[in-house]
Amino acid sequence: MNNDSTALYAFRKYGNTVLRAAFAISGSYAEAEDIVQDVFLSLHTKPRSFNDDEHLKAWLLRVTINKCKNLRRSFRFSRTCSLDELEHSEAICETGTEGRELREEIAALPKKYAEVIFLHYYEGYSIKEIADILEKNENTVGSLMRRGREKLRTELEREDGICREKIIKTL
Amino acid sequence: MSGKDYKDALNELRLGSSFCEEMEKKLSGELAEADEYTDEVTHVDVVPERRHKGLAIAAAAVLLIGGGGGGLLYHNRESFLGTPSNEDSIYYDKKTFAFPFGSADLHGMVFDYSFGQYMSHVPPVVATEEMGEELVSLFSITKFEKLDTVAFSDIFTREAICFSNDYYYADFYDNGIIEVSFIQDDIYREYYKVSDDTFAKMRDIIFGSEGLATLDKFGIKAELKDAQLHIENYDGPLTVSEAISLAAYMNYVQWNPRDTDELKDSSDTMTLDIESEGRKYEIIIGDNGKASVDVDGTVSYYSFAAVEYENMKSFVDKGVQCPCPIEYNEEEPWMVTAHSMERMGGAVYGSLSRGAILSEDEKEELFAALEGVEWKKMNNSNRMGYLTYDGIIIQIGDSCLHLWPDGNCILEISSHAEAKFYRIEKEDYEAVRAIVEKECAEFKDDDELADYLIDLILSEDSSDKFFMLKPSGQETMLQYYTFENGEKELKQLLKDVEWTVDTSGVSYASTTYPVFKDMMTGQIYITTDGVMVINSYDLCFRSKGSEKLIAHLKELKKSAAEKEKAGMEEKTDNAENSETSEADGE
Repeated sequence: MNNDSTALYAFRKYGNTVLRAAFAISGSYAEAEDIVQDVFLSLHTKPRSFNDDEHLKAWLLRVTINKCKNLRRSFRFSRTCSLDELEHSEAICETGTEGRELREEIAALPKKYAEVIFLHYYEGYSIKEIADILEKNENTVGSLMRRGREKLRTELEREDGICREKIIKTL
Repeated sequence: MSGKDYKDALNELRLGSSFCEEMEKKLSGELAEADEYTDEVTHVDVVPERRHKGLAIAAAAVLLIGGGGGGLLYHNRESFLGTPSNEDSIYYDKKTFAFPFGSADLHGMVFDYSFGQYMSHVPPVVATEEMGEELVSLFSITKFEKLDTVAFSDIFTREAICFSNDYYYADFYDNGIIEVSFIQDDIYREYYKVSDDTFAKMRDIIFGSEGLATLDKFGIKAELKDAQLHIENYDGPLTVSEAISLAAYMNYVQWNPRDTDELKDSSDTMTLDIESEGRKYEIIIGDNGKASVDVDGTVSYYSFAAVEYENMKSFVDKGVQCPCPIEYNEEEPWMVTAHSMERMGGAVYGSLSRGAILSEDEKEELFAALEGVEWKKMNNSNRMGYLTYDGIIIQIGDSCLHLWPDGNCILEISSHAEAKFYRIEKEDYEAVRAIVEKECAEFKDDDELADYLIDLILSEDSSDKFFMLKPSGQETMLQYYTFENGEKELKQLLKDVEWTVDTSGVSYASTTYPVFKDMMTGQIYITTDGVMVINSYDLCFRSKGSEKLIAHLKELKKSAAEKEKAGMEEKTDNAENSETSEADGE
């Protein structure tokens, strides 16, 4: 790990990971960007040492999740990401229709499910690892995962978008 | 879900170049504070969640267990602080006394006697003018000292004389403590202390000096406090509370003289041996509604309504030892709650709960503690009171065990619609409570707790039907709207919201949407400001992102009200048309 600036190193390596986690959980790109800034500046002003990259990444995700929880304007249903917001953002390198529609569904997923879905399907953490990170018991994580998945499926079934069938197949 | 599409969709999201440049600049800069320390982290740290600190002093609202249904009332503390004193408006005369907590006209006041929160069956007394004057004289020389704190356990098992007016309930306990529960704009309690002998003097003025445990029947006038009781499993003296309750009830029962002894047909009896003023009495009461009374060797016989036997016996019920009434069940989730009094601004408020869903280890720990308790099965509920103080609940599947600090316990099994009554030692209660409190303190997943309760109250069945209570009011009390479908959708909306336990309460003025599936299993109250109250468990949750839920409930209520209004108008129209037709016909 780069010892000159842990925060800078962390930002370069995990900036996008934190952005995606924050977006998946907060449901808003604007808020996700704020959280990215907040997380890395926290690390910068209050440096910590980490055992390895995995340790650093786990810490960043933990802090990101907590910051999402503590968002003052955390009204999930009023904050869901709009297509316009995403399309006009320079954050997106590729703007495929399928990805955009799925991102809308991800953004609309209630936060409690979004956390476990992200940690499992994006980060590949096991239920036990998620339970440790979120301080929930494994049964709870399992049930949140199941319900989140069902929720995502329900939302997708309501859509007429072109990616619908493909996504449902994978659920 | 393979995760590929999910991952692909998120991978398209990247930080913008200008944002990255800006961040790199910020992160390359020197640390702002020279004395900043560096933590050596050997594990993944967790940023502490913002818990509800300082709730006890929050100037928000508090909750208090309500009446028979166990409903919750919420009151805003600010409103009570602004409550004007009633002392200015009251008419003073020599029967009116200005207590430090408010004035009371003692002539015509109804006084009740209770023991340890239980009904004593001592008939209430309406104070005469003379009594009112005597009481004013007594209180005029009484020093009232305001207490900052009181041990609730001290007033559980005490005799109390109670009266109330439009502003407060006042309970005078036999140890000199006065508990005043204000009931106007806000519900809260204050405590005072008077000299120990004030209670006895007050009791003598109101209930007479003969003693509340005096039996005055069968030509006998004797104190039951001195009686020896013989029932199955017990031979010994009566406690004060037993003597008072039994004497009051025996004085109330209608005893009819009989010529013959029919006690031999009874399968269970209760015997009282009394010695008073040199005379010996033996009263034997049978479960077949027959009794014999022996006065110095002369025996007479009586009959009474057999149903009263169980009532009388319940006052002296010592209980029968039994095993722990709940079974260890690892399949079902276990939920526990602990509620307790909160003190705010010198006044004591109602019950606030914390809850937890237990892990397997916690289940085992709690069950071991429950198994170690000495349980006594009580015959019936006559002595079970309604307590507004500390208590714990252990919910396993459809079994709900309530435990109170005075050792009384009720096990409710909703699938059997039955309740069983138990008693444990106070020390055992404290031990079990300590475990429950620890589990509640350690439990962090409020949302899991909320979801569990939503599942419990809106329980799954084949029906999609549910109900919503109408706004409370004299004319609409306990009336509700019926929704033939939509329960599953509502349940999902409730569960989608992220809930955190909130012990600061809700605004009294908040509109609520009380929904339920079965009145007996409780209601879920959702307020317009995003608070969910589960009244059966004294739990309150605050939400993030409940707008969709509230909008849904608002729409449900609106459409139900409109539908009802349209139905009523149609009925009126039909009635009017019918009258018109009749008139035309004439």
